[in-house]
Amino acid sequence: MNRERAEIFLRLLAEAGLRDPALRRPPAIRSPDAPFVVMPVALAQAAWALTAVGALDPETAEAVLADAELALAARRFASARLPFRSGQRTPPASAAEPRDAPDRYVPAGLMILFHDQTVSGELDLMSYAHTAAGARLVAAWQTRDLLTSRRRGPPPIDEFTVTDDRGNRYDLLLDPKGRSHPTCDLQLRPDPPPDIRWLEVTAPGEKAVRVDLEGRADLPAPVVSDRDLSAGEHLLNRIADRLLAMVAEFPPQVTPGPLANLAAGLGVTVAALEAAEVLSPFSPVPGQLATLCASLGARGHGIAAAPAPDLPEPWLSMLSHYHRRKPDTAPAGDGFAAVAAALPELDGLRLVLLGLHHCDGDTWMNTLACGQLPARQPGPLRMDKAFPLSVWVRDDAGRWHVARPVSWSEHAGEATLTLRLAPPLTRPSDWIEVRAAWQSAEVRATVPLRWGYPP
Amino acid sequence: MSLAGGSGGLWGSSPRDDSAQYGPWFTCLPSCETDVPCGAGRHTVGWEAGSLRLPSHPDAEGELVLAALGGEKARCVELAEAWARHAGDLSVLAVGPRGPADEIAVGWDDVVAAAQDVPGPRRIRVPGLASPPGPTLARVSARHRQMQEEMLAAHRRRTDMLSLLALGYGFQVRLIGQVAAAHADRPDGGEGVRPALVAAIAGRLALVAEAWLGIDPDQVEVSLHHGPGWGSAELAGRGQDRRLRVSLPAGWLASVWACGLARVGRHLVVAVERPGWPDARVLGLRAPGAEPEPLDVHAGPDGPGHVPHWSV
Repeated sequence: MNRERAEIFLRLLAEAGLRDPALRRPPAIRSPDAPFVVMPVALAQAAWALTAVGALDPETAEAVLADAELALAARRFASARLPFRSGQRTPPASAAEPRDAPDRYVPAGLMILFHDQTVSGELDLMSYAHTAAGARLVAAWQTRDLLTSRRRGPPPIDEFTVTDDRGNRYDLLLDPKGRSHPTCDLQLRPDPPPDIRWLEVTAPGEKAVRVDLEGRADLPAPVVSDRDLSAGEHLLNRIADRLLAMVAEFPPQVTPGPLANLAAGLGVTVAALEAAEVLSPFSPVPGQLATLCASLGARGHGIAAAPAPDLPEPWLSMLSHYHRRKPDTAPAGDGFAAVAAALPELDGLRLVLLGLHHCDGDTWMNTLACGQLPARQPGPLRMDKAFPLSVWVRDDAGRWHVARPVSWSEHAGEATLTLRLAPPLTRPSDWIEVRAAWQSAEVRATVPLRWGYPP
Repeated sequence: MSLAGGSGGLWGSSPRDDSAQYGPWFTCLPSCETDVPCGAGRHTVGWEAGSLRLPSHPDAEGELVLAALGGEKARCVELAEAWARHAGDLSVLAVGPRGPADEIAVGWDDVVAAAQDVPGPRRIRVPGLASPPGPTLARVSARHRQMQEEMLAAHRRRTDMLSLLALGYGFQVRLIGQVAAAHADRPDGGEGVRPALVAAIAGRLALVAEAWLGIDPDQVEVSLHHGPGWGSAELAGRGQDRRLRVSLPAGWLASVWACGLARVGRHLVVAVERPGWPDARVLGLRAPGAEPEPLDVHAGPDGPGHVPHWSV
């Protein structure tokens, strides 16, 4: 890795942007809410990519971008207020107190019904997790107004009672933790002993539902294998993941903008990675990315490498899905699956699967990321460096789904993470194979799913 | 006025290479002045021999003491402080002008608007659900404090930069020269600052080379020259693959470009052999790959923004 060349590349890119007459020209009509300066997309993407692979530290990248922004602003707008890049960074999450007991993950797969005079609903318990950050039930909920049939807010958790096998009582605290609606973590207060055998959760006026915490899921051993990817190749693969997920979220035939924006400047990103010597000029990945862009109809990517004919199997699976005459096959009905599976720790990071749920046509995988989490770094590609994995899911029909992180919340050395599957599951799969790929290794784990459904 | 150890009205003096045979980098630059809104009127701010001068503030040190006691600080004094703060700041190279045609549209109104746009305190929203309130609140408060401090620092930096830009082209290039000179002969070979210096030279040389050879600025490649001699320049390739590869020392930015000497007549000036104003001797390249030839050059009175226009 050549950090000096990486910084020179970025600074020279900023210089080229400053020479671009289109960027120096003030817009003809400017709304008061419009940004004063539009940073060149390629510059922001290159900065993000170089930071993501560790060729540039975030402070240097931020300083280069801040200077470029001020330089552009000083040339564009006379007598206008200039942009303000604070350069603020999110401080790293504090570590949790050390805990003697090992982490505990147990699938639940239970539904708790509740109702009163105005609201009825269900609380779907997907799993129980107890780590240094505390004990919690990972759950999804649905509530409906009895009079209007409209959906209502969170269930009245403070009216639920929770006891364990030793007679201890607990409060449940609903913590969204960045999980997608309508899932949440139900934190137990106080923190229970590490070896309780069960919990009973009782909704007002309902029977207690017992969560057996001694059950062990019979999971096949995950398979770990080495990968020989450079940091640049791994990043480009993650960008490919994002492109494929983007097609599901914003079908280009309906809203072409997001995909085009995502693909714009990829050629500069490739050049930046090559300049930083984290991507070999002989790597096949840029060519594969060029083929992917062409297959998705994303123009203007600017990748100089010749399109490669051979694409990875998951990409082909998703492309064949998108290219089918009716790709939007009716999704599965709402439901949830009990899962609890901790994947092996690799590169200091462990991914724990804590539930799958399907709601309103989307499929979500609820997970926990434990270990050495890099600082968050949202980028112009709507990707986050703090989640340095490429995660794919294969259903029992052999179809691949890319799992994109959509929300997460860091606390005490772990991150509550929700992944959105694209495309969503179209039927309740009996099992899934999860493939989590780091730069130097990947884990494949086959996980049985125990589905629960509304009555 | 005498501040910061300077003599008689000097602020942010430039680095002087006392061992140089013919004087420091700014020997080819004449003094210059501009008017700055200060208090109820306008004051003259000057630059001479590598230092900023505030003739309207003969006792700036006393004014600083009064300001520390709660009095208002004069704009001129703030400006001089900003000059001193950024005399070694590489951001000056990234933001400042690339040449006389590179118009920077920052006026004193922009400076006033930016100075008033102070990031104020914001109410902290504390998530009130599951996390323990004590440590969470402390964590959020600490993070908020840190963000606030960073925003204030960024605000001051921005106001500084805008003030320095508002001084006009002549002062901007002199500050660029001062920053480049500060980093030019570092004993560590410019470790950590090389990328900024390469980009600073490339951004300016590209425009000079365009006028010199008609080459696309994107086809100019620059590297830093270390060691004896002036460096090298060669042209290679054809069409889209055409490249002008130039290696120059970081000091070129100060002693040549900032003094308005980068191109004189049909020559690319690569070094100053005998600095002076209005007469100097430089080394100029007639073409890439050629040997540089000594040129006696003379500064005319009509240079843009107080930067001399030189002719052979």
